[in-house]
Amino acid sequence: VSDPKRFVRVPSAVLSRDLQGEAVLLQLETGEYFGLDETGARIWQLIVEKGNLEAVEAALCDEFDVDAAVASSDLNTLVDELVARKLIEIDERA
Amino acid sequence: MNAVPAPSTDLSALLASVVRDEIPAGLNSCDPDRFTTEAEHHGVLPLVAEHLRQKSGIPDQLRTRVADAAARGVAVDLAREYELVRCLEALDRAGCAPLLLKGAQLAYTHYPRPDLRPRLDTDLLIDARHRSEAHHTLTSLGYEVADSVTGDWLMSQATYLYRANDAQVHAVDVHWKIANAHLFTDVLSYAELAASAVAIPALGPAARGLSDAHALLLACVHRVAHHFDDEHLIWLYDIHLIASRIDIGAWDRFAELAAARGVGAICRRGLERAAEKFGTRVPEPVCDALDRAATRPADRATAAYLARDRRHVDHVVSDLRALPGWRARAQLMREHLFPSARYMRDVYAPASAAPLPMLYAWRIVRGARRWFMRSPSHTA
Repeated sequence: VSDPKRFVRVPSAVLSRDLQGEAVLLQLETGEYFGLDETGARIWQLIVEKGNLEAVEAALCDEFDVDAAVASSDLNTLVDELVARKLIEIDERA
Repeated sequence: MNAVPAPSTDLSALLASVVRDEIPAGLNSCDPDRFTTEAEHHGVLPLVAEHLRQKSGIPDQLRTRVADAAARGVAVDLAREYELVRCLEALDRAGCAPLLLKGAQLAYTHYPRPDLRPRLDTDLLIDARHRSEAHHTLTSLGYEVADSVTGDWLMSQATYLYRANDAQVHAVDVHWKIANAHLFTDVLSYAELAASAVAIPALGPAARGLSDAHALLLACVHRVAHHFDDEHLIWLYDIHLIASRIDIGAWDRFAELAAARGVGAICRRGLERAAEKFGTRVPEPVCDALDRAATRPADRATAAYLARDRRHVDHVVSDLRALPGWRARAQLMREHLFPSARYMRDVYAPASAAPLPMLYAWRIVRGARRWFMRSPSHTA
């Protein structure tokens, strides 16, 4: 059975813009914005595309040539921050 | 955007060179706060941030200060874009068929990203017959009419504001003429602009803007009719970007229109200034056509807007001369001197019971000084 916390979605109140590698996210309901550097922006892009954190983790290992433990730790740190800022939600239905 | 203090010429030149993708020597000795403030003042902060981001050897403090301010601008732009799409769709459903004008259009049609073209408001042009529908549509979306003087001869636009989380998210200027100054109101009509309008897919199927020839003419006219030949870099960069990608047929249409509508000198000035700041290339035949147009009597009144000693009263006199008959002129003066009671209360005495005649007298006394002052933008 899949761990539901491994699936996330982007709320409709969140807008993002790619800035040639970097990114800015805006939560319309809170009015807060959040800047992402190139690595963060790539992780965001993968989250939007895949929604499945296991798949994101695998892609990070491939693209950045890091081992699974490092990728998982970096991903979890960013996911926790994004959840805290209401920029992504845990997908309970997954 | 209204009158703003004169910018620093040195920093203005420095900013223009960064936007031209040069790294001037003076950058290393710049005060980051002053540099950022000046870049914001000129409307080029995001462009400057983008250029500095890609370069090495930029002082860290300067790069960070500019980048942080630009990131805030991106967030503002994201929220504005969301609202803009909502407005455009609703106005389209109401049959208003709005056209995006000036920065609001160019941000999506000429800049690599919309946040690179900062703007305080979104300018939309509608057919004057749809004013009521536009008003009902925007107010039903939660927009409020901004405090402003009104009057059929004084204003050909209305401002609507949308607020959320105690902050202004979006300001929409709904225009039914391209300018308030009467010499320029009919330089381009909604009907002709709509007939050759272009789609703006990034904002959805309801979004349309001006053709290149019309956009260039409006960019040249606007900085003079509304901002009195102001040297703000962003308006010159708008002209530069449009001119940089316009095709020869559109150049011809632009030059013909400028001559036919009596704005040859104004268009020539805008292109000259853009060339000085950004190296804009203008075909020789276009320069010649604009120079010929500038010598015609039809250009004389509009070219007077380029004079460096213009006062507000000169603009009022120009408006009065452009109006058809004394009845209209008298009404314009009434609209200048005696705005609505609601406006007077909101702006001059929101928490006071001062009698209205006293407020009107105060407005006239205070306004008289401003009417005879030289335009601040001409001191640079």
